[in-house]
Amino acid sequence: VSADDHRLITECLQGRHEAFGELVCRYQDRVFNTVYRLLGNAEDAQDVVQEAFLNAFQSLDSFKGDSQFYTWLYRIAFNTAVSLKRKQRVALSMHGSREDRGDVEPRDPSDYSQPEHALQQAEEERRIQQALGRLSSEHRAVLIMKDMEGQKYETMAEVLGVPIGTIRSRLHRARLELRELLRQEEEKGG
Amino acid sequence: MLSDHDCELLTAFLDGQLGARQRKAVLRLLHRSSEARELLRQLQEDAHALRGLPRQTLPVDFAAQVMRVAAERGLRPGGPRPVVRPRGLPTWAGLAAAAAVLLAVTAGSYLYFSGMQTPPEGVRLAQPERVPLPAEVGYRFALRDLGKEGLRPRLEQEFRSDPSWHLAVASDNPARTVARLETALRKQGVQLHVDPRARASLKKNLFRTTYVVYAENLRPEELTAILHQVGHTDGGSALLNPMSAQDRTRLAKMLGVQVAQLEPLKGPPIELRPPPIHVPGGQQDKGDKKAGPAPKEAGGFAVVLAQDGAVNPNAVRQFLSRRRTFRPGTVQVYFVLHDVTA
Repeated sequence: VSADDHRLITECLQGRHEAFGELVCRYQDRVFNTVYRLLGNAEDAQDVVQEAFLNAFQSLDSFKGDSQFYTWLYRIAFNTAVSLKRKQRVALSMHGSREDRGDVEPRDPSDYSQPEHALQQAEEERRIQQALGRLSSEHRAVLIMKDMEGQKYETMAEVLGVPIGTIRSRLHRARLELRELLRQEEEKGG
Repeated sequence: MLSDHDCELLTAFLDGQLGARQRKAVLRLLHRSSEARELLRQLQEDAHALRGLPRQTLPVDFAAQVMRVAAERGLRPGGPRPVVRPRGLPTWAGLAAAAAVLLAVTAGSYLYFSGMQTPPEGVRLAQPERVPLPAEVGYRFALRDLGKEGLRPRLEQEFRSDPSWHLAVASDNPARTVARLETALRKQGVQLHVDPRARASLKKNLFRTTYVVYAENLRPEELTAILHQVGHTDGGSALLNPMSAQDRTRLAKMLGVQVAQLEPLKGPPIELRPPPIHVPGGQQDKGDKKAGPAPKEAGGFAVVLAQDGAVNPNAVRQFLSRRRTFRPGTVQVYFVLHDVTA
């Protein structure tokens, strides 16, 4: 645990609860960004992050300090997000199979709006986020943690509660699956 | 053909997670195999694309909000664990006896309000909440694809599964798309109210303005026909999700009405006008005969707002007071039309 985090945690446990607010400020965007990419929905992500911080606040006395505070917090947020995902209907029944869904994706996002740079950026983001959304939760999580958060395999294993070898094989399969999804999108786009 | 083991090594190589011996093995593989080089290049591109996704941020007062909620719930370190209360879909999803309406603008109110730059005395202006851009969860489709065989009936069927929907439409010219949506709504007999501030923005064709359209009492086939007509003349993509409780709360706030006023009624259709009086012998009284043929069934209602404009809640309430017949099996839709170039 960093010295600053340790000080804030100690102060909070001693009764100065505002110190926890400083921890929230410090990590809120990082956690939110990850959860947002996991869930694909900003409002759900904000709810999850809030609940994760509240959970962390109440569980602060159980934080042993043998890992980074962020890692511990991330694990809480990840579990909260997974729990939400289970409860929530995020995919409409209309989706059917993935192949089926692919049939109705826009192939030509509209000729009239083309060469706008912002539009291209938005389209690229949409393409990536959509491909991410089609991955399983396990695969999506490892890609986000590795490529967006730059986490090490060890940290990822700790957060997800699986061996490092599993992280490695999951990343391998996730990358190949993502590649295949993007390739299919590219083919559709001509 | 690369083996699964080779692919896994390439992935770990990309992540910088190999020991010296395995790293040398991968370098040898890359030296002799163009397929391995190509795969590594693609994986690097994908990882780069992921890293390039824009970073999301929370409001600056988020920490204060968390601490406020903690205080409200009486939480403290070491206390019992909080209950996770995720945002959920409304529980009332049953029959959508929906009734009409929304806000909006009749021709009369338009004439009344169109020249108005400042609100009249006694009129409270509700400042709408900013509507976040749609998230990439849900069902995305191109409006133009509604003309393709298969999609339209499937969409119609989907609309029958839930009485309330949130439809985010990305357009490079939201004002134009709103104008086409207006035309399509009117063609389906929907009574339309356009908030004066929205009308002003539409007239000026302001870019980067997000519009909100709320519609009620629409049959699924009417809604798909409306979307089809918009897609026939306009492009853009749409993202469909069931309307959430938060969507409903936000919408009610924008309109300046209670959330309950936007919830579709359950049960059989409700006729709010007095029922016809029947006399013994099965004949209707003269008064009823004088009334002539039964009025045409009430159709949909819709209101158009500019996201950043002020809303006149009095006009909205007036509009709501015109609700008459709730048709069963209808849906309500919360459209958000945003500028994709913003």
